[in-house]
Amino acid sequence: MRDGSASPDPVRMSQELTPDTTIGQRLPLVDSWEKVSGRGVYIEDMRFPNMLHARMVRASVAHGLVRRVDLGTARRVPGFVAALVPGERGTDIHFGVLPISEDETALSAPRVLYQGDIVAAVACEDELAARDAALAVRVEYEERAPVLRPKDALQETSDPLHARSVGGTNIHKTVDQAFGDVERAFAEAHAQAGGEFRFHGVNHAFTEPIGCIAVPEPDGRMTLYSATQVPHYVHLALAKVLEMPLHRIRVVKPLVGGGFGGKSDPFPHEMVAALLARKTGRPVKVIFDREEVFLNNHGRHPTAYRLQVAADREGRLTGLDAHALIDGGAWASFGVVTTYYNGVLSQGPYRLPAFRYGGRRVYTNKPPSGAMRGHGAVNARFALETSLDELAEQLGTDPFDLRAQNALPPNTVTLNHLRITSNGFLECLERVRSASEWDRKFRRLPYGRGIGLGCGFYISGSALPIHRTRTPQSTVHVKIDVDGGVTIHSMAADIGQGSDTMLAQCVAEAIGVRMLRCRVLAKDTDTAPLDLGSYSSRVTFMAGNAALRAGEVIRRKLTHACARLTGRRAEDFVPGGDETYVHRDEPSIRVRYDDALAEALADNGALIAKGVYRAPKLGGGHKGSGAGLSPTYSYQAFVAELEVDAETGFVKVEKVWAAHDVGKALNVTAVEGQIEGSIHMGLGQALSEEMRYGGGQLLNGSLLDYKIPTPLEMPEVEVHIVESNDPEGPLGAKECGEGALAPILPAVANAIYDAVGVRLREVPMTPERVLAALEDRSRRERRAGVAAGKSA
Amino acid sequence: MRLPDFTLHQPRTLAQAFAVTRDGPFDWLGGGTDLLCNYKWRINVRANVISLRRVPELRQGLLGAGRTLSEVEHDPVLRARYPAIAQAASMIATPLIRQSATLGGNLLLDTRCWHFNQTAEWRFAHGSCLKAEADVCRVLPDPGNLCVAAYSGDLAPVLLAYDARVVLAGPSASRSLPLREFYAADGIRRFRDKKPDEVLVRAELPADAEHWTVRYQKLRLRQAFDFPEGGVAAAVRWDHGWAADIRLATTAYDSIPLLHEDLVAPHRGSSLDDEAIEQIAQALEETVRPMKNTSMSPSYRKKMARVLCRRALQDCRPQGV
Amino acid sequence: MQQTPLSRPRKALHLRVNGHDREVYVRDADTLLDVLREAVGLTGTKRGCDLGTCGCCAVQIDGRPVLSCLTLAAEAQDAEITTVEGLAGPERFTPLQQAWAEAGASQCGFCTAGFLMTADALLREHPAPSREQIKAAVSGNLCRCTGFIKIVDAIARSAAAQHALRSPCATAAPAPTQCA
Repeated sequence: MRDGSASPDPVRMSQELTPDTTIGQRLPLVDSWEKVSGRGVYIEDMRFPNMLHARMVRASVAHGLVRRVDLGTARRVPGFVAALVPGERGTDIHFGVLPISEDETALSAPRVLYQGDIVAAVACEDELAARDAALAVRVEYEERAPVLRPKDALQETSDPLHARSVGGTNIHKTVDQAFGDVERAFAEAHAQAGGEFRFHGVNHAFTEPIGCIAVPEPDGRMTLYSATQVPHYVHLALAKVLEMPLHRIRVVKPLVGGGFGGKSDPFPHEMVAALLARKTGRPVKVIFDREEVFLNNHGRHPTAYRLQVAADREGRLTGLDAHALIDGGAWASFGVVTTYYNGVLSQGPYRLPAFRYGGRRVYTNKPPSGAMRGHGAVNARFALETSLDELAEQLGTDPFDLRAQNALPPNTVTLNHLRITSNGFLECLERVRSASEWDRKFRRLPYGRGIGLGCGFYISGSALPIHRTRTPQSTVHVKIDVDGGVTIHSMAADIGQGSDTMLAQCVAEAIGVRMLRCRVLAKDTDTAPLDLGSYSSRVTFMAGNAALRAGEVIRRKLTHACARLTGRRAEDFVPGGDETYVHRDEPSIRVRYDDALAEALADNGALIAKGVYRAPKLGGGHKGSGAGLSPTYSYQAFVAELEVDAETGFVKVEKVWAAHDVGKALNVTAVEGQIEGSIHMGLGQALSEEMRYGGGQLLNGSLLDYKIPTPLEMPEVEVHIVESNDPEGPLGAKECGEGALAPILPAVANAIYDAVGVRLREVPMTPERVLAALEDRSRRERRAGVAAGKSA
Repeated sequence: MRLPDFTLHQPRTLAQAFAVTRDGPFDWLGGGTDLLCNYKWRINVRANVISLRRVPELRQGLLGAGRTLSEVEHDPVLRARYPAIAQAASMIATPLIRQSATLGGNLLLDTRCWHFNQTAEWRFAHGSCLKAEADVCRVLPDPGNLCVAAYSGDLAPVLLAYDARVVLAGPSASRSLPLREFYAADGIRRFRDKKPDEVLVRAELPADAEHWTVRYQKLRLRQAFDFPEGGVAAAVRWDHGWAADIRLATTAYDSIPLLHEDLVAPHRGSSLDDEAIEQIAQALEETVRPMKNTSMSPSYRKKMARVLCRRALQDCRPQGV
Repeated sequence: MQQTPLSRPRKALHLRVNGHDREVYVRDADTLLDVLREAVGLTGTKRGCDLGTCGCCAVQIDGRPVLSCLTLAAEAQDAEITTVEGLAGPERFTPLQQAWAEAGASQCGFCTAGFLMTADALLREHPAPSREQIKAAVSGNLCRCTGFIKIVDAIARSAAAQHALRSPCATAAPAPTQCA
């Protein structure tokens, strides 16, 4: 009997759903009831006896050396209890989400790297006192010239921002990859398209501000409650900073009010809270203001992207040449991965015989960039998909046809050794082409109205774990005791995407019971087995597979009990509906779940089982070959139809048709929700969202000035779920929450071109930028007209 | 973000309100949707806040200063007879804010600037500005001691287009003055001669207001939340197909809402054809002087003045013309 | 001996929350949001931005949806305050809450309370709103997860369900036009 230990062979259950199945249906999320009743507990809702409130003291300069931190009058603020200042134990210990680039510390000293960097902190009896005290702290800096422009960061300098940057510059990470003969591809190209693109930084702007509470336990342990997507990485970082073994630390995740990658790093304020808790012996709470959320950032990197794509006479893509200059801001975060993803994820969903990519991520004195929904793929995808639109026009072919002609087939390997298995890309194309009535509309709508296509390709979980360890990436425990309820332990972090619901579905399906029996405890490192957390679109694929395996182990225990009760073979019992197990050849032999459970519990006690998932070994041997590897990939084709006001440059997106190959929709409502939400966030980046700076100072750190689309900007969305039934996915499923963001941006840009004939290469495509492009064209046309007149 | 301490006064009459103005530095509180944001950011916090929410005098009349924007937006009389006022109200901020924010608060809206409407830490990081804690302007090197923060109320241009008056009450007397004489072109002083202890009681429309067609056009990136980046109200009094009289007012282009008499004067009595409208619109574009202190660029906002103006004037034309 | 912040001037305030009388001691400068979450202990109302720019803190005062972060607690005296905790009875959810869960209108759920309070007020005034009316009514509430689509779905679905319940013709389908 298999016990759920690490096993490369996939779970193949997609064809045999149980009669009680919830798979493929529309389900409320298991935590909906907490949420609609207002009884769900988020980090700010928690409080502990004797709790202090901490507030960060943030750098007022973009770059400088801290000369002195003077608590001065802060100590006299009524309610002041303690401060944490540079030099104190633990404040200078490096940590970071990637072990290869741990460059953050609890306090930034002696060097502060951006305006908003945490220099010190105060802990007071209440929030107002903490605010007053923090304002009273005086910090003296020796100011240094800030590095603000990425191109300046490429230069050699005698004073690099980080000790470990590349060759005396402020370059954090360099990636150079080439496959096939790119020079020849362009030399022999029949057509080529592309250009220089510019992307401004964007922020996740989840509704719940970041926060945490550190609780020093009476037995000397430390508990951190934190709104995080990655309890495990927070756990590791805390152990390092507190210099305590992991088992002396506990990380608990309450409900999390959205993450989108913005809560997927261990953060300095978490370390500060723990250090202050250790220092005072009291619980310490930190809740960020909205401005601090923007300053903490870790959002999508501002990027300058240069791309050319070549095709032959028949319209076959022959080469892609891409270069990215990526503004990492102050810290490394996930930046090494970002630098790879900006190139390697452009190798799908199209066949490319030649590919070259150069990526540079630089440090600048701005809030750190990091992982954000569609990590690393969004900006690159915009450049590629808009260039393909241009290429199609040059070739005189329809954008759909160009993409279909060049689509990667299923079960193949890309040039950079990404293993392609299930692939529903062609079906995605077909679905939205027909639903949007593309052939009737494209290039045929009146001036000002346009339709555009954008496609996508995304990982379904990073196959290579961040830490080189043989520990499975996901482990799930299941326990059933006399009450018959199914308790699921996992560290997969539900941040609203519905992973708890997914775990319950998978376990219920594997055992053959109703989902209502399941309760998911996915919040506490003391009780949950390891899971790497919610990032890289990994949870459904990895934790889902682990959950299925754990459930299967339980089911085997129950079918063995059926065998003992009936004298038949255990292997012959299958879920028979209404929570029974039925003999597959003798349907009259049925055992109720309750009876099977009672038998299974007899003499043994509670049923416990575990399931694990580890990605198979994938990839080639080249440098950086691990980046972009995933057990499978998702595919998208989106069409946007919109109206451009040519007088003002305003773009009104009216309808989006979105086809996404999700492998298998485990919960249709949740899948649609992920896709619709991705489109909203993508439209924000496409049209209105942008982190703006005056020098190194963030100008728009508020939800008034950072322009998230409101309900009135949101178009109608028609989601087309494409199911390619991934052979290794849990019940056939793969990712749907990140890949769905990227395609909407180029779809909008291409629709703007269809509407008014201008190509936007700077994102967001604000009214000002659209209008500037229109005016620029008018000027060029006038000049051309004058020139033509002269020559005539 | 806890508010810093202040003493709240909740008078039930204007007389009670005036009495507490003698307690020391104070701010009037209407809906609170602007003032409390500033206070949370520690901007010009005063020791006393006098709430006018319970003063019945301010809720009287069609345009009582204490009426919420939501009430103004849905008022059947306004919608039927002065639709531009209801429409402009409906375009302010969000439905939630309009439930609290008042007509008076919008008319008296504090001027806004990217260097001012920021957290305390943000402002202190570069030494603040003359509208708050310092004596320098971050927008213009030498603004001549005038603050160029933008006036961003949406009701003022519409009421200017109607040539409304405002009624102020003070401890000793009440007075009424034309709205066009109410504001001062200084983002700090803001009003020509309104005394701190005077309260805006209501706005009043002239007797002929109903004979005017008034339309408002607002420039903003999103259809909710955003303050105007530019706003143009146009008013035309039609007489047998002729534009007997025209008014044009702007908001968000200056530290004051402005009435542009000289731009429309040449076209009084004209048919206000496309050419005339274009002339006015072009003249407006040349007139407005937006500063670099809001979300959109001054050059774009200036260009849009023309579009907003053209559209507002065109909307004023009788249907079917 | 340090002065503690408890010495900040506080006043007794009588609030009526979800049909219950509550006596709290608060500062003049405490917002209704602060007081509901801390002094009253109802944490269902959320603080998303504290500046009126997200709608997470919406509650109802005398049936009107308002931003509790920009309302001083003292200004809500003598009024009926309803929070998300007061929407449902002890045993069952309202049709709106039911529809919310079923439609998938909550993902992370942080904006949910504010949306529910806004939508509940809308449905009281407009029992059968159009999608456009719904969007306009909730345009002061931000959600970063759903793209608002399932939120609008939930409100429309709830309206339809309540309409069906109230309608005398509900059982006499299929002739809905007779009810118009």
